[in-house]
Amino acid sequence: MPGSAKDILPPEMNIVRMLFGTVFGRDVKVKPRSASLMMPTGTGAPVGPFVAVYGNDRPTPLGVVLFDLPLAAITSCAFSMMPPGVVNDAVRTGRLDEVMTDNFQEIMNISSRLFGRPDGPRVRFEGGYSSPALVPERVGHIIRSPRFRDDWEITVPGYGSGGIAIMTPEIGTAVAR
Amino acid sequence: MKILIADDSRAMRLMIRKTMREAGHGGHSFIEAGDGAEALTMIEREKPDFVLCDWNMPNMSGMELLLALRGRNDTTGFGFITTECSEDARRDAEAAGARFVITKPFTADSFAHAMDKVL
Repeated sequence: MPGSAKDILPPEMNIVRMLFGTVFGRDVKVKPRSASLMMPTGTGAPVGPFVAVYGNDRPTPLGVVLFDLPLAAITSCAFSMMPPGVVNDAVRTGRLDEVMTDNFQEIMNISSRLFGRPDGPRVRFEGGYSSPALVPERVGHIIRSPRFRDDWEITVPGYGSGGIAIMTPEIGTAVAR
Repeated sequence: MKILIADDSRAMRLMIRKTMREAGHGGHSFIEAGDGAEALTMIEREKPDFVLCDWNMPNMSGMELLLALRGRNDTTGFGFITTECSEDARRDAEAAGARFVITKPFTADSFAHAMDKVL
């Protein structure tokens, strides 16, 4: 199976909801939101958005996902059922603790499924960054000029809401959605 | 039965144990490794009956671990728990000797379906 960005089908909303709903075993809500809301967050020095890069060892990534700080905190807490109050502490301090960081790595890893499908190319999590300012140019180019971008607000019951942006460098078969 | 869980995420290893319980397979003894290289050492030392293994891990991947085991004629039962969901990956896994591939995120049903066939 070829593995170029043109073979990637960006996920529809129900795929996003099913993925995170299965991860957390909760009735996760997903709704569209403005891309303008995806920005650094925090009451101290603004943090994020976190950047997750997906590919299969080719120079051009197959997909990029941004998580704002609230969603990073929410998903990393919910993953191991930490007390919801920890989310507020993380957003206030702008910092994920060691356990949350480990959890969030796995959340970014599992999010590779947003781009994978049985008849599609292999897609794996290549790495994460704590800010778009830290990414290499091959990733920064996609963030600045994606051919496809969807922004969603994700609500995890009991933990709160945060934002995600899903981007691909090519439209590919997305035109068939 | 002794089962080795190999995954570089501590939280995922805990989640796998929890899901094994929910799938009716909580009565086994579990040991854990944080990457493929550690898993290989533990397999030699602990001789588990089955290995539940992530595919993409630092140091030694799950596939490299499986190939290393089969290369030394070690037939310990082996299943992948991974985000790899393509047919290509599934074919590669089966060709290398994996008994199943459970894709992340998973449910207790997917574990029960896979494990009931091999344990």
